[in-house]
Amino acid sequence: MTRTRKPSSSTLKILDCLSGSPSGLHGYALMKASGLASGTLYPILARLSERGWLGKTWETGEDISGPSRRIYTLTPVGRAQLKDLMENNPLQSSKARAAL
Amino acid sequence: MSSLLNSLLWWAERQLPEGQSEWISDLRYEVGHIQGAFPRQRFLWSGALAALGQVLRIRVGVQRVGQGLLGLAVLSFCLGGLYMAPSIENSVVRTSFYWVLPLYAMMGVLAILNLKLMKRFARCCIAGLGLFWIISGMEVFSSMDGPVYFFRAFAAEVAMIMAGLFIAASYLGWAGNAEPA
Repeated sequence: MTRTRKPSSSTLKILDCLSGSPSGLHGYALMKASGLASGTLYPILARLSERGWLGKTWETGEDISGPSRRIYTLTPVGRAQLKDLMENNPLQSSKARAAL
Repeated sequence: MSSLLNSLLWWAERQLPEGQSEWISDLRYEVGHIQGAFPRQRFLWSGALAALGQVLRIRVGVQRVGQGLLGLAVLSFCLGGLYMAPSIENSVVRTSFYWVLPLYAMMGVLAILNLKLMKRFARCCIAGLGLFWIISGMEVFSSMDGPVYFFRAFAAEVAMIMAGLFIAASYLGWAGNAEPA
């Protein structure tokens, strides 16, 4: 039997941050935008990517200093899920929004 | 410190199956872009702790980690008691303390080694203490000179602590058997 857990407010915060940035955000920017610690953020990002809610690409460009890093974007599936979550959990969504 | 945390992340990445370690490498790539020593340290600390937690969860198991922590907590409680006991002036309280500490120590050791045995031992202790509580409440004892009220209260308290440990062990057993979400 598989359990489907309600997404946490941290998950909602991450999805909400990404929904406002169509070009995507890298981990540190997402961390600053959501206020989550890296140890909380990255495992959630991995879980959401595994579910297909997020897309991951490597940062490209000539002005990059240091190693290339991941850019996270919301996939159409993720966007639909976020919309669904916002409609079904208005209280949790408003809490997540208020925390941002 | 940064290099130590980086090494810890690198080690954790190698301990985990490929699909579950990708986030650690993503995190490591990100570190190089963070300006300032303090934000970098904070980023690394949080990531390293989460990575260590995941390694323990996957390689050791939720139940084993919980057992270890529970056992260590009980044993450190015993050590604290052992340290404190000699300074108790009342000899009755002190003796009661010395009597009960081995029971807690046994619980701690069993918590680390075998949860089922620990639960069985806790059940026996609770039953024994309950029996003591009932018997010492009889009229024959109320007329005695000894501090029966204290013994009864002490037995009730120890039984409650044992019950709490029993519940913790049951919860660990449940968490260990539960499928990961």
